[in-house]
Amino acid sequence: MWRRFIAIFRRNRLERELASEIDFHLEMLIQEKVRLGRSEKEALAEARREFGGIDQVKEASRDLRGLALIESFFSDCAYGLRAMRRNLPLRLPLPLLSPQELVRAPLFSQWRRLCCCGRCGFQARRDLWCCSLRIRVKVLRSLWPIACLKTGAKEPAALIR
Amino acid sequence: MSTGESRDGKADLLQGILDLIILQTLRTIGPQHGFGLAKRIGQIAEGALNLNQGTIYPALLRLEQRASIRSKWGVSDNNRKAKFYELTRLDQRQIDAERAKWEQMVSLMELFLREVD
Repeated sequence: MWRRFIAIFRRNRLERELASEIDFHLEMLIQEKVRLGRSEKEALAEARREFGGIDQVKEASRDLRGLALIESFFSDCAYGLRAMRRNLPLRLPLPLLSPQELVRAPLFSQWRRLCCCGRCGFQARRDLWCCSLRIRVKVLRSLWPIACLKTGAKEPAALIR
Repeated sequence: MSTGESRDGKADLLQGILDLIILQTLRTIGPQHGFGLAKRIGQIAEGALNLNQGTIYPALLRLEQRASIRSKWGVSDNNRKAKFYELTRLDQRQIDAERAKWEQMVSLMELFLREVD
């Protein structure tokens, strides 16, 4: 029981270990067949046939580690979180989407601060979840031309990078 | 070897047979990787045991979970990294007990079959 419990936390490592064991097994079988005079293609096909279903072996091992139930619980949770993220207003617009605000912020650093801090704590959470820098850059890139037109700023690309 | 299948008596019996075969083979040949074990078992059974070689891995995991065997990574004859399995000291005695049980079962079956003949 204790081993199964530990296995839950070492899942990735155990999966990798099993995969490399299976790879080793198949390679040995292929080498054996090639030595007997089979072509590589024939050897591969025969090795796979003798080994049986790779996915079934992995699945059976996963079942034994008692992961099936726990994994499905976590994947359900992940699905739930993804659905929540889709439904919450987590995408743009950012506070910067207002052109007036954008134009009022004369320097890039100030714009970045606006993006980063936002209007409330929710904005900060959003930053955490959504790879904030990438989105900030995207927002600034898309809005910079408008700001440039209005403010007459020069060389925007260099500032955005 | 799904969970549903494992509830089946026939599958349990097959698992028991495979487990004992693996343990006995490990006892005979010493620490060995999955491929070596599968090959050795295939040689001894001479095709009578109609099992895919991959079946050995869930069985090895099951035995490891029961602490009947332990594994460690090593290097194979052809210098490849491989996982080697060996018996734990605890299971040397268990094999004898399992073996005695099987021998008893076989002789019981022989008695019945002879009776029917």
